[in-house]
Amino acid sequence: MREQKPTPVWLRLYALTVYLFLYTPIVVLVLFSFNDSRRNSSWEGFTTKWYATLWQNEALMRALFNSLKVACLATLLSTVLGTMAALALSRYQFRGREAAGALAYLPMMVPEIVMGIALLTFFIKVGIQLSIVTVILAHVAFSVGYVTVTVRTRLAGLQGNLEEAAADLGATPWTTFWLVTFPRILPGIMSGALLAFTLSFDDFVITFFTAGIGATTLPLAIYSMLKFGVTPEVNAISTIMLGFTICLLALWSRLESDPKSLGR
Amino acid sequence: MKRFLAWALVLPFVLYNLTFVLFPLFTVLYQSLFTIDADYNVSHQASLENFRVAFSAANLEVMWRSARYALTTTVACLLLGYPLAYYIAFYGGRFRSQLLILVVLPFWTSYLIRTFAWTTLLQKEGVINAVLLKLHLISAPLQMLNTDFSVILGLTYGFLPFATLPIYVSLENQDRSLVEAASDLGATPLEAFWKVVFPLSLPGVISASLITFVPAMGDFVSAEILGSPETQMIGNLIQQQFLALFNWPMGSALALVLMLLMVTSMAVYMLLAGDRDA
Amino acid sequence: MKDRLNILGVRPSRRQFLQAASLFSLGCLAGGCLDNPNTLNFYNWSLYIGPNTVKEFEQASGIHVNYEMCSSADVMFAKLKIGTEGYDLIVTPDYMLRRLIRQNLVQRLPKPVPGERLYERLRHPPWDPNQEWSIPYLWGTVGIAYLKDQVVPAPDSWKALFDGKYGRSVTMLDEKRDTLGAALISQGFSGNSVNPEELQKAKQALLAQKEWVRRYTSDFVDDLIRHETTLALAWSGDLHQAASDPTVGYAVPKEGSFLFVDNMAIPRSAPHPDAAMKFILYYMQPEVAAGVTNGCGYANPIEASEKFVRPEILADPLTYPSKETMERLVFQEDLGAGEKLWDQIWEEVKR
Repeated sequence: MREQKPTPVWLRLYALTVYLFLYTPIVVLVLFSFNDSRRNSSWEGFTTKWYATLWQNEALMRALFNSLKVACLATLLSTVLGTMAALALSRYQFRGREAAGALAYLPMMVPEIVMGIALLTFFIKVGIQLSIVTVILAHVAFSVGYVTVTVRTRLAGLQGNLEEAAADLGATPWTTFWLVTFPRILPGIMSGALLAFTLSFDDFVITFFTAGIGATTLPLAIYSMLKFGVTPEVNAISTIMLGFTICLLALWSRLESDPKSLGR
Repeated sequence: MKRFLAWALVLPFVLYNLTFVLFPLFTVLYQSLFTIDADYNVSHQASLENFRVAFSAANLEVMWRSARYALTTTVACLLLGYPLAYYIAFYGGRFRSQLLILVVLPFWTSYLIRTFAWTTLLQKEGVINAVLLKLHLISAPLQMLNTDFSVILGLTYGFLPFATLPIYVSLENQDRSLVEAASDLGATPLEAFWKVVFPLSLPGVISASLITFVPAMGDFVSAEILGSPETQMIGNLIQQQFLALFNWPMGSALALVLMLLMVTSMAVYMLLAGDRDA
Repeated sequence: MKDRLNILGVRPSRRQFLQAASLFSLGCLAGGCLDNPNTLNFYNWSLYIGPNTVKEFEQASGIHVNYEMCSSADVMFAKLKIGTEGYDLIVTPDYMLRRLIRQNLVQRLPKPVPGERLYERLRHPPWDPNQEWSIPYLWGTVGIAYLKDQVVPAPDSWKALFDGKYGRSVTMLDEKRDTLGAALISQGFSGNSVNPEELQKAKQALLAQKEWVRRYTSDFVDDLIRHETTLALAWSGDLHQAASDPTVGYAVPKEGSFLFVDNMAIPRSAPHPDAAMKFILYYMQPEVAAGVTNGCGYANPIEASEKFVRPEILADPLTYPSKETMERLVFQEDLGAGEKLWDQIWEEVKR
């Protein structure tokens, strides 16, 4: 077993400072969700009332639900498309392979605002009504590349050629995929899906330009409120989302490390 | 048969990208060649008028400013993110995934609210000034909001998790025995880092740079929430053209000039960094 | 089968999770496709309504309200212009209504409204003399908000925003009608002028002012409460949200200013125009209108509502300006062909 060298003090301090930098606004965000002030610019006292009124704020609740709906559907679609593409690009040789691979990097080279106005212009020119569907289509457009790259990386890192062995044993490509390849790349698929979900859930710019009626997601609702009157309810909802994510990840961690769970 | 399978797998992806990424970009190009009339309807006359305005001194100044901000942000993200990624990859031990998750966790609150939280911290009567005053490091509150500094801070903060991840991945993938071999051959820790670890992590650094520079160039949120009229970025101008002035062709032209700037700077970067498989 | 997968380190539960997630997602999409006919899609600004108004309307009428938040009037116009369908009721600034009518984006009100309930001055406004297309929703004034302890004596002229006496601590509105309009008035011209020379002079004033301007935003209340700025071009009613800070004052300059009126209108593509009409008629009841005023601090157009408005708001010159102030105020009018010139000037100012 490799001996773990002790961490240099300066590196530890540096890392700590960066974490501090990352979390100070988060602390402020959470703290101000208890702010007894309608405008939330300066601290005016402690209250938990915003957590109660939050559930009554129908616009905000609907926005949250829309965000989840969009993120789930966009993630599903981009994971399927991206994984398929990654398999093709990694495992097979075909004409146009390089060009197809380059397509995955295209959305990463385009700033969100350009992507947003491009999709808006496109939808209008083609005559597609803006709605929640256009938002989902837009989200898939910018996240499918990330899934492809993530899964490709995972595929490239796989060693040995179990697929060939399975084929030699008489397995069809379909069986080979599901029983051999898929389980091995599943972590990569999950990472890609998680990335796509995160990107979609918090996306503002592209959603801003492609959302129609009934497609207001949480970031859009927050933006409207920031311009004219953000109440601590927004902080409350962010805090709840954060807490929810922490719980989910803690649960995930627990499952990863608990050997008993493997039997489930 | 194999080739057919490959095509079947990759075709949906390719078609999707062509339809929803490439083609929309071409419609932007097409739209930029027209102008609008008094009722905000697009005229049917093609002209390069929009580009003439796009390349005017005032707009170029904003482009240059955006590039400066994006570059500063990228450097800051690398300076902050690299040591952090190094720490987690080499010294994180059992807690590596948790530490990494901690880096990404802020992403799960809204980008808008996180940026807005900085206004509370940076304001004249905010926490940072209060602490600095108490420690007698300054005698009067610093003007931190609505400056270059606050915008770059907002951008750096927004993209730091994104920059840290690729660097971490390339560091984590490295074969530790290489470092051991280097030290066995007599290299100091610093030499081992500069001659072995860092060069091998360059693909990650390049990914991180691109993943920061590209979105930072086109950002308008940080400048809107934390900035002033003097800190306007090209993203703000484009947004204005689309939503306040309803001049979509002009906005498209500006967007194309932005893309041109980006592609040029990326080409330069690639040339300087050498051709590596990102 | 389960055992084989276990050897490879995968728990079937993840696959099940994926399957469940897909079903959930499909279910969501399906659920979203059902449109309740008893719905009202109301597009309005955040906090620009009473806290209970929507709920009370839902209870009284049985119509479910989807309150969609608007980030700016321009975004609202852009959305309608590109053909976004689905909004039943919108709130539009006075100067924008004529433009919406010209471009065929709104429809006539399906039922007549009790126009006699409106204040005299709002009964025959230039943008809609007979309540054919809209009714006034809320109104306010444009003026100067300032920190009372720092700006002494209290400002009474537009010059206070332009002379830079307090350094780089002025906030201007990110709205071309209000900011460019105020600049025009400060130069002695009409706030609705489309005269190119006058506009150039106003532009120069704004460009010269830029070194004192911290930012262009609708969020001026925050800047003042935090004492980041000392002066701001402001909308009257917003300052009610600064009520907790007694040091913020408001004044309507002596050279004159705008009386702005936001109006409810029904887009041409509204799927439920009758529901929108029901809300309009509901709103015109004095108690309901008063509820909105009590909630957000802006004055409503129903004269009889005064007896239901909280006394401290009624007495507040911020919401109900004095007669003398009212005489200095003009409406923001439709610019017609002059709009393009204003756009150009505004673009040059903001660059």
